[in-house]
Amino acid sequence: MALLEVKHLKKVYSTRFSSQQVEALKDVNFSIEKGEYVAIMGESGSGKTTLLNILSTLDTPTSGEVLLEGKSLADIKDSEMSDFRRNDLGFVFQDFNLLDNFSLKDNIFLPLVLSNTPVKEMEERLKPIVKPLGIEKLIEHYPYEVSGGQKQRAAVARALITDPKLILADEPTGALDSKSSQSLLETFEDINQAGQTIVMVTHSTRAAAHANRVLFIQDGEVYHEVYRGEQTVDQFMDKIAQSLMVIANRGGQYD
Amino acid sequence: MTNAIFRKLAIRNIRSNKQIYLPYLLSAVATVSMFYLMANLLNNDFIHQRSSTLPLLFNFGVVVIGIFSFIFILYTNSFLIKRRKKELGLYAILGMKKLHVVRVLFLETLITGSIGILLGLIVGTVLGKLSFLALNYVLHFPAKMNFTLSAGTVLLTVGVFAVIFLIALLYNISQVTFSNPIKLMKGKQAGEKEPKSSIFLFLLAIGLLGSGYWISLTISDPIAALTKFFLAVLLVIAGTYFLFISG
Repeated sequence: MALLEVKHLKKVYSTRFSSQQVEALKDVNFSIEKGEYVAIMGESGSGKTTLLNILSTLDTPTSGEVLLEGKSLADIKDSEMSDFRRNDLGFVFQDFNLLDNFSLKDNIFLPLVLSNTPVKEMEERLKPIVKPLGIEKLIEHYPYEVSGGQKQRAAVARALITDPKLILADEPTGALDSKSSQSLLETFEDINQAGQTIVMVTHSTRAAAHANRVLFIQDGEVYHEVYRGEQTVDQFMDKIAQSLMVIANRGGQYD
Repeated sequence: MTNAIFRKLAIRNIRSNKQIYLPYLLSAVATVSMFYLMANLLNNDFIHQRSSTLPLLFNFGVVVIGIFSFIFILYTNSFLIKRRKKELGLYAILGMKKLHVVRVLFLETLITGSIGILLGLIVGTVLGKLSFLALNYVLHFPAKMNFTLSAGTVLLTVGVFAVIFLIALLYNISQVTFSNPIKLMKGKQAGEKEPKSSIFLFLLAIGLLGSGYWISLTISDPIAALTKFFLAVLLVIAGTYFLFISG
């Protein structure tokens, strides 16, 4: 059974005072197995963010459903929704979303504090997570005292600390310089090798090339996907770039 | 989640947001002490003996300062909660129930409100004592004026500000519950709305200002028309406010 199944997802936004409707997602179908690292690519306006918001349970689809381990997200009661988000999902954002007035350590602990985990257990969980991320010595510092790359690592640690079923990353390299991006992407690969399922939304070809599989989404539909297989990052990047060219040309025909 | 964790979270939030909570607390202390000073004069023996209109005048003063405190605290509070929207949205995304966010907000208001009122009362008493000392020193009246402490005044101050802080809390709760996490995360970016110019508000403002000034100009006997005078003050306050927001 797939870890995540997305079936006929459709999302229509309508403004309150007009009949004008915007179709952000038309008919999105895909499934993700446990342990996969999937990148979702698409231009701005293609519906990437809407899709991610629905996967995060922050938004609800107009029709269609999302199944996590066979259970529909729509069936989760409102009262259980926060527990679900806390325990089963990990979030990594483009602009880190760390709280400036908490130290990195407290930021990482936040999801555990919310689930009332004993301090001893929190400390025990912290070490094996921050060590491979290379921020072990920085955790007492505040977000404004460290670099963007280090902030994002702390955000990754915060996502990992609850041992979630799925990590959802929204343009995780979007605010980083190329060197930090590179090392973050390698970190993601390492985490994935350790068995963590990751879904990443991006429009960077380089970022997508680190994933095992890339889904291309355009006009609210997934219409193409490529697998990395045994290819190196550079080879896979070429393949993704080619696919993007095809998409651009296909779009051109209609213009 | 247990009570202890809510308490810890609330205290930590206030401490870690001290750059915005400190000005808020200071303004609360200032308004509370001002209100308390004015309210205290209501029951002051000297004022009662001196003239029959003085207590009435101070009554109006208390009402005006009460209204002023209400607007002032609510405005600083709305500024404060806007700065914290991202934090609250993040709590929701990371898996904190709305009810729990509400509980934390409640505790935070309870703590800051209590500190504000308590410090305000202390500061108010000290300032009151000092100003009466100064008055006695300067005026050399045969009868000494005393700044007296009364339970009634303290209760009135605590009551009025408890209500104001409660309304501020309700406002904050409404901000959290009627919004979703995505909107909250972006809340800090949204600036203050550009005031929309409105002919209606403008005319209303002109009307209020006009009638306010007209009343105050046509008063012939100020002491007898104290109520009228008070009405004029209120009209001018409201009129000026509407004039400014009418754009």
